[in-house]
Amino acid sequence: MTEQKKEEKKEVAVDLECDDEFEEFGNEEWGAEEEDAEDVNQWEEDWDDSEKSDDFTRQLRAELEKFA
Amino acid sequence: MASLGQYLDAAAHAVSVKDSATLALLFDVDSVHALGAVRSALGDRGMNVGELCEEKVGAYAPWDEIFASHCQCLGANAEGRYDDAFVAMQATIAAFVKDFRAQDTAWSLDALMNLVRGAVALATRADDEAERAGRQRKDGRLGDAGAALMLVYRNTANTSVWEKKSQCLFLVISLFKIYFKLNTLHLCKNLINAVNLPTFPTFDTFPVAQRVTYAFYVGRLAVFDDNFGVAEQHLEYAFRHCKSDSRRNKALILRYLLPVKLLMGKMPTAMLLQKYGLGEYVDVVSAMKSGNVRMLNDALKTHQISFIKQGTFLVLEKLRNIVLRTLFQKVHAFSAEKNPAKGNQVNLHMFLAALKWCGCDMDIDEVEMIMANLIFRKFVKGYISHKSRVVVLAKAGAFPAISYDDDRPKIAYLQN
Repeated sequence: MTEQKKEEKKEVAVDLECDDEFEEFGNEEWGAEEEDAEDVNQWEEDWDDSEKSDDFTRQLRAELEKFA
Repeated sequence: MASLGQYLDAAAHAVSVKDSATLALLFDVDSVHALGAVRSALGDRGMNVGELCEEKVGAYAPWDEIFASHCQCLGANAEGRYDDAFVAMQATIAAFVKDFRAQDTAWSLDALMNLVRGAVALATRADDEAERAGRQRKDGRLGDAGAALMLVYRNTANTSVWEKKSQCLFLVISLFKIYFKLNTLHLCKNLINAVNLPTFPTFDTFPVAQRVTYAFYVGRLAVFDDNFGVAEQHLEYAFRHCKSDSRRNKALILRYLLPVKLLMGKMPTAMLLQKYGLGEYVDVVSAMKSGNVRMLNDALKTHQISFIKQGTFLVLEKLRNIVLRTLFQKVHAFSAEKNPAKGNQVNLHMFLAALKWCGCDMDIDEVEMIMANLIFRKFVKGYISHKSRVVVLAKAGAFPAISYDDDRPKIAYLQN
């Protein structure tokens, strides 16, 4: 990430902190092409997988071994 | 526009031919033309503005009076006397609305909306000025602006002239913004009810900017009311239709949409978190997926102040049940592997060991309470045998999919 981008991001975060008012849009009307289609469906519902083996699960199982 | 005389000539002409666009411009409180005209008059001590208004606009009463108080407002604004400017604005709006109410067309509506914008801007400046001088009043001029806007709203909503209603949603949003700033959220309820009445114009007829803004505020209110199904539908609508280059607004919507989605068991992709700089959620999401109670507690603690400021902390606290459920699910998987004959039972002491390992300092009675709560809230299906401290899980579907109010009907006006 470039320095400039970092700066921009920081600015947004600070701004959001002290003022949560919705900004006026520059114009009143726009079409679907000006909406970000990429942002739709960025939600996962099938994460709920007890079979999945991550670090946390491996450590948990090692701990439970002690208990068993 | 050089002089006040010319400004008022333009006013008289706009009124005589019902020129909506020019009239709107003349009532723009920060327009350079209007301010220029007023500035030139301020230097002329001998000038009687009231008389000049009567001379120039007197033939179109009550516009002479309306412009007289508007000139006072412009003059005070030009001199930085914002409280005086606001008081004059109140008088302008009252006189304007009196005329507007009697009109059977909406030709002066755009000018009225500029007065509304001006009233909010001047009230904000007056309150800032008072704050700097250490003279703070409860609700201040912004509260008075709310009353003025309500007057305008009533005269555009309760009318048989349908065109007058075209700015109703703009007024509702402007009032929302004031009520959020003053923290008088209960006043939003009546407006929402009004929007849902059949006498209110159809939602789709309003510009997308207004629809998105309305959906954002209604969604936020629903989050505060623990009305998560309603919140999700409104915030998702706002997020989907928000203009893509309005990054700040998109991030603001996401700030409320994200906790609601998490509560419904829907996880954001890494791309979404990165795109909108929501780094504080990375650990929360990871904790939810893995059942890592310690990580969730740490994340909530680290970002507690910003979550509280954003008004989302109490919602995020509710995520603990989902994380506990995931942790319990893992304990169950381990237990069933070790003892297949009793595959649908989990010893509560084993769950306690897992919780302790996650840094939760508790005893077996507390674990039983947590378990009872998970069962009561339908995160887990089964029952507890208190005597043997064992959870007996349902043979099928012991871990139902996480849902929250999902059986609610879809809100019709948000379906497009």
